[in-house]
Amino acid sequence: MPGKPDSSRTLRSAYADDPEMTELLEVFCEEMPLRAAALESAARERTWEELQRLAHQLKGAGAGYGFDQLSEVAGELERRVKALRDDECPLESVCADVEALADLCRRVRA
Amino acid sequence: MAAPGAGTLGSGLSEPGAVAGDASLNGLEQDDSMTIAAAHLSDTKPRVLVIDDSKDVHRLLKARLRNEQLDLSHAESGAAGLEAVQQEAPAIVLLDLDMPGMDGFEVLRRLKDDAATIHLPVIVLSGLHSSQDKVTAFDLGAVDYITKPFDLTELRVRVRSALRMHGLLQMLAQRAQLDGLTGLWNRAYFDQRWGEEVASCQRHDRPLSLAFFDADHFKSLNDTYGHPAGDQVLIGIAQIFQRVLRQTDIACRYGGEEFAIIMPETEPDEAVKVCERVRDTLENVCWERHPERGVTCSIGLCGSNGSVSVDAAAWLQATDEQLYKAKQGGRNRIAVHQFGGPGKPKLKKAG
Repeated sequence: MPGKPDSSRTLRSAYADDPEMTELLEVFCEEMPLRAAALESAARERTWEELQRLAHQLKGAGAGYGFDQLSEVAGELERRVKALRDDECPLESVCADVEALADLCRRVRA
Repeated sequence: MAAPGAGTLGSGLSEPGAVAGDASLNGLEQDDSMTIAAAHLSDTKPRVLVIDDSKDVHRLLKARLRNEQLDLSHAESGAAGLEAVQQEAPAIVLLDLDMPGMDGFEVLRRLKDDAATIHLPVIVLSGLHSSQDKVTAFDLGAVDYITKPFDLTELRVRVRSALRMHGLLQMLAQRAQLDGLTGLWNRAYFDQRWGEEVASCQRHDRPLSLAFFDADHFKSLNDTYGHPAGDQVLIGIAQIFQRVLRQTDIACRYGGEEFAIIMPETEPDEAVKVCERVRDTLENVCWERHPERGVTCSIGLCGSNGSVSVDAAAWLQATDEQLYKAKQGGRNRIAVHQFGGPGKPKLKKAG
């Protein structure tokens, strides 16, 4: 397990200064390490449907909560898992995406 | 019994300001029921149902629409969404397209295939940006399309705009069935509703009564005091209906100075009591424009205790005959006919 992430690599929300979003962002960010773990677990156990669902949700949520980069990577993962399930994408690229996305999830801060 | 002034039009309809003009009836309290109805309407927040598979989106919308005076509820799948539409009867639906299982297009298709939900406004929320998706959504009957991530201001104004449009459409539909002068249901509404009530009472063997009210010597009143005074009398009679009739009674302006009151689930004996209260109240009104001259009405009433087979038109005609009898009998009175009275054989369909 990686240690506490370097604060210079922290991902901030585009809505960080929006008072209406403060509470919401805190809850969202608190849950993110759990989501990272869920992603890794789904990839490890090769439950592709679950992985696709998690990626889909993160794509929508990331954009809605002001984490565009997270949303983009999640969208890419969703697309790749779908392709993988159709035998149109190598397993390695999916695993690389999962790693990248899990890393982003652990770096978000309210 | 609905309390007088409960804000009904005797038609189940609470339309603010529906009664035009100022009847200024002495002997009746000034009508504040409309104000109550208006206040009640603005107290009811429109319900907005969000159908989206993501909890994050639900939380986000809740925060973003917090100050919008909306009653927000959530469903996390297409199937749950359709269920919630039936249960909660929302004013508007915000619908995600890209959902596992039943997707948003299918939900929209089903909503628009169902007569009960065909007019329910649906705003599509989607991360799908292709113009084909937008075209499909609008073709299926969406009223608007919002792309995710939401622009906060845009989301708010689009929801507001859809609710406003929906409200106006509902108002138009209602207005087309209301009488402009009295605010009661109009003749067109009566014709449709009467047919439904007759069919329903016969299907379920339930009681039903119909009464025609006609203002006595109305032409002479108009000729003596002018048409504005005549209008005030019609408005005054409508206000008495609102006050005296029960919540379930359906008061309509049939035409001219004639009114039709449908009383579902009401046996003739009970209907007579209701109509007598109206007749008695009207008789005792002192009219501001002509305090020296009171106004009365004649009433024809036909009802059944259930288990009769009379078609809507024949029932109408029989009621009209009773009204004629009341007029002939000296006016300011009620004449009653009961179909299939105790121990009597059923009346067959006329003709």
